[in-house]
Amino acid sequence: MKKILSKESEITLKLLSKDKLALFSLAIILFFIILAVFAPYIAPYPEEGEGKPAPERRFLPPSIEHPFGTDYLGRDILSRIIFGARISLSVGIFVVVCAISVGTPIGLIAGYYGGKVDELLMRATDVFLSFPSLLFAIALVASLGPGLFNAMLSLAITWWPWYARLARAQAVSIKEQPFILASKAIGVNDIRIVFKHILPNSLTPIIVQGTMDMSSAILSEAGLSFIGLGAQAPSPEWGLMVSTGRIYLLNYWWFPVFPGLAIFLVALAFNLFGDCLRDILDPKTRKSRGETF
Amino acid sequence: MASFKSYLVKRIILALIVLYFVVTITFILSHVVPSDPAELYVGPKATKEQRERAVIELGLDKPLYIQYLNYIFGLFKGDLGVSLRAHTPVLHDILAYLPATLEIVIIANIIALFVGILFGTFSALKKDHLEDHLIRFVSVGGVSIPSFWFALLMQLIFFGVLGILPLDGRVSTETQLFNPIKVITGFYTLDALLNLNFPAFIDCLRHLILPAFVLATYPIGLVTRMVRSMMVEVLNENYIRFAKANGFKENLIYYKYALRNALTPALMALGLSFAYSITGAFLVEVIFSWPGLGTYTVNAILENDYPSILGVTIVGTTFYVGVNLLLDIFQAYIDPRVRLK
Amino acid sequence: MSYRLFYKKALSRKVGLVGIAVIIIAIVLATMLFPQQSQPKVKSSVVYAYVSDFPTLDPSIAFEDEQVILANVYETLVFYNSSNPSSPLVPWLATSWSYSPDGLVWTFSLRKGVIFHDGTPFNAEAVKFSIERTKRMGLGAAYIWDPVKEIQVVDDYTVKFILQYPAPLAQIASSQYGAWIFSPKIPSNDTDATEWFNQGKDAGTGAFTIESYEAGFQIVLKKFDKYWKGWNGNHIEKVLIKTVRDPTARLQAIKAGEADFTVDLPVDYLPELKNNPNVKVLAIPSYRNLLGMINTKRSPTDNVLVRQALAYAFPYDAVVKSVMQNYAVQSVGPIPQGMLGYFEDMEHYNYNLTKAKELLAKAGYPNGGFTIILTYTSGDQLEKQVAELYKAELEKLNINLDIREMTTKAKYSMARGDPAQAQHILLFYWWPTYVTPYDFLYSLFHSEEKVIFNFAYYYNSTYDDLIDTASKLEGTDLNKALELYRKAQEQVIRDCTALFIIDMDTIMVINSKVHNFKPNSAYTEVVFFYDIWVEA
Repeated sequence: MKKILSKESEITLKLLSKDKLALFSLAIILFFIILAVFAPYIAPYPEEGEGKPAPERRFLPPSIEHPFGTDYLGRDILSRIIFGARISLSVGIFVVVCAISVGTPIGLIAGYYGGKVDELLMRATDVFLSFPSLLFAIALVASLGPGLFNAMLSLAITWWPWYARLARAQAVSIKEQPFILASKAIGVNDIRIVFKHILPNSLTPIIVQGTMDMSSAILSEAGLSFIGLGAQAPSPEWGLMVSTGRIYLLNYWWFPVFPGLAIFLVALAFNLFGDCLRDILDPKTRKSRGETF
Repeated sequence: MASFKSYLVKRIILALIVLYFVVTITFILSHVVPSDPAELYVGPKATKEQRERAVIELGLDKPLYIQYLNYIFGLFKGDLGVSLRAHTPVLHDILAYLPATLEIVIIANIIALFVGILFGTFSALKKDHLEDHLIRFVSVGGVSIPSFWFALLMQLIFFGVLGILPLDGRVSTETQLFNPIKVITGFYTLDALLNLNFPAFIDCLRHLILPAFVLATYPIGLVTRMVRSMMVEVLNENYIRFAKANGFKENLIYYKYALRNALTPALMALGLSFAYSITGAFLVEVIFSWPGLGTYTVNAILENDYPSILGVTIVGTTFYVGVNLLLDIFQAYIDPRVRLK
Repeated sequence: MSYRLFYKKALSRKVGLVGIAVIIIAIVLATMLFPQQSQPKVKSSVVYAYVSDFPTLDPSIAFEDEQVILANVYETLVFYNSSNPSSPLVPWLATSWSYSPDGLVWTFSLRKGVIFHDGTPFNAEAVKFSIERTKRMGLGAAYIWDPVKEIQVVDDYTVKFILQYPAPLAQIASSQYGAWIFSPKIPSNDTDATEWFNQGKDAGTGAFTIESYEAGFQIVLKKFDKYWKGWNGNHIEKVLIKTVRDPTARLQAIKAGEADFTVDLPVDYLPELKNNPNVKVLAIPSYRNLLGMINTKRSPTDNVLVRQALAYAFPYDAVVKSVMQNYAVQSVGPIPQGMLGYFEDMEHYNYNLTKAKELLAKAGYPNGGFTIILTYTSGDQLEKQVAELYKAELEKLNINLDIREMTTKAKYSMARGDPAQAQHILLFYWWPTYVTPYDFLYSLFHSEEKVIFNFAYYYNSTYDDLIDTASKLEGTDLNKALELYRKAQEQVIRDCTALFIIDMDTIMVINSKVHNFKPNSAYTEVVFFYDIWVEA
């Protein structure tokens, strides 16, 4: 615990609290987290949020009873969006956590040991990096069958290489530091060195990347659901709602527009926050991903 | 001393190895698919004999590893298999749909280049001022906006509400009937110009604007951010100050050093996003009914047409690997330190 | 630091960039503000915005939506006029036909003076050639000719079919799949010929010939001057059939007058269209229905009581009224309303949760408590809504309906595997290849060695005999055949082998200035362009 609240972190937090943009985006993130956690209590029509149809009131335009209107089965869209927050946030967390958990150790080991191990691991990473995530997801889902879990799985599989690369770069630069060399000299176990000394000091870029990847994960998953490869009906997943509502764009615009707005806001919030975080922490860590929709 | 040539060779070999694995993995994935390809080929009401004939024709009776080898050898010949639904060669289909996708991708990236450099430089100059924050908001927004949703929004506004741009498609029905474009390159805008068919040219542009613009939002965001950070550094660089202090001509300094510094990150950002543009275009194409690779792939998915899906995955990934290779080589050319990696 | 100077320099470079940007924006604005030059309304050509593309143009093997094109380019021996159900068979390329008392020999007299588009005269040889090729290739709807043992050319305008068992051959010859007659002057190798057809060449006798074809996008038909019916009166000269998958785009096309015909619009678009004076909304009775085939070989739906409970729990009214906005009716049985073999008064299931609960209790599931899998087709809004509504209803009985969206091929794949692993309920549509109850009853519920469409895995020899006998009688003793068909339907309703959900209308929206459009349920979504004309 002590390591996390190091001097560096204290400074970081102080700077963060002064950055208006960071606070603003953090507020949005917290807002959606609250929506997700307390969905059944916040949503005005919780059963509809989960999927219960009300066919008598299909396609009602936005009004006081239904601020975002109703969908093609009469369900309140606002409630559906609130429940959808649960899915989007869990997807983001799952994908990012998986990718980090798999990629970081691999990268650290590759960077620390160097040599043949490094070569091998990095080539494997390259193979995965060569797959544009969408195509890989398509191929994977075409084999495994559509579904939220399969979509998340294929995203996590395409994502871990980035963290491996990041972790490796960190390991490579840190391992030459005096305190590491000193530990080695006094005979500290390699694994201990990697995980107790190198890891905590590599966290910074990984956390920054992770924050921004939350946004990418959510966007990618929404895109997959939009094509029909991700979440399935009657799930209140945002991308699925946009996809279902798409053909009603010109007649009942509220159906596809509001869920998409939610996706945008969440992705924007995470990206802004990550951006501010990066600026504060380390202006030299410019990792350009260029991957998502 | 790491030579450029040895780096080049190493990278190319690496790319080929990577491609090999990609092909293999895709092949494995597609053969885990539960559906019965022979049946897809002949249709559901076919008799047993017809299905058996198809099995032989498609080579499905041979053991898996022979199918795999045949597939690999086929790839060298440029044979990506035959579409199960239309019974036409996949490569032929892919090449037919490719120009449409390239048309919007290229234009989107050109837009992104201009706008990105503009915004990025301006933002760097006005660092920490209101303009900087606004542009940063816009560029992060560009990277965060779901392309399919933004496309719908554009349709709603420019077609639904304002009615000044068409809903979708590449050309209008009127053009198709009365001013059909004789296809030469597959790039309709170019073809229309080459045929001196100006009404059709304008029509094409009107259909192009929205998809290209939507596709440009992501690269604009990327380019802006990268150009900005690079320019911020450059403006503080000692060698610029030194050059000024020493009285070098202003023009020389700015154009030769500063601009070049903006171009590199811009091109790098574009290169990265260009590689993904092809896949990113999928969603945009679906919304705008743009008859490119994206539409082709989505249809193939709906039909479980696995040779087509396989073909697109391989072509797309090859393209992506190729662009990455070029990027790496370019980077190595400029920055010798990279070759030591 | 002279940022000012740098700014000026950067500015001038920026000005350059900005200048270019301005020019581009100017062009963009120009295109927006000076829209398409308006073209004069032409009555010589029409546009049909169709919902999908066409996998093949080979008349022997086409089996999806190609009849939309082929029905204008080719012709069959007999025409099925669905608006006259008591006597629907109309002479087309054949002028008359007769059959022997045992129903095994059918003789057709052919029309004289008909030419194929390539100039060869239409005669008995061509008929023999076409049908033999279709049979030989064995793809698509070739199976309809299974009863035919031999085709004999008696003379240029008489052709004899020798059957191995009785069958309604005139009806078969009116089929919208696999019964097209084409010229023998096509490439002799079958696969080469398919390739030839798919390039956009045609060999028909129909009113139109293919002018140009862009596979996957559109096809342009132009009138065939030497068409045997002649071109007196008002006629269309050119037709553009476009593939427009996106329903929003089809809607816009018909509203803006860019298309004169379109189909398959979501019913939710129709209220707006009905108030639009430029278009006419036509609800055409189709021979299409929506079914939920129930797996009789997997627990718990292997228990007939459970199946019946499921049938009672289905929200038919909600589907008809809310989802279909009354453009459909609840099905009675497997044969859709209006078709030969439909009996309005057959006993069937209605929405009744109490009865459903009773049956469940009798079956041993008084509180539900099981999960069943239902698959529906990707991209199909109707099926999706039906699935979600049904799921909500079954929840009231404490039954978990696991609804899965699958591509057509994937859902068939699952259903054609091991019945114990297949879905419990499969949603799909059915419509006939040619108009006969046998098409529905055989394809859906006849015992099959290998499952093709009998997704209920229903193996009942009494039922099989009923319909096989009926089919053999259909050509010669229709009333007896109908009696047997009715018995067969009552059997499957009792055994509850499927949820018979709705009989649907085909919704066509057409330009209100179109005249003489005669929709025909036997030729799905076909517009016979020869018949219509459009006011300028």
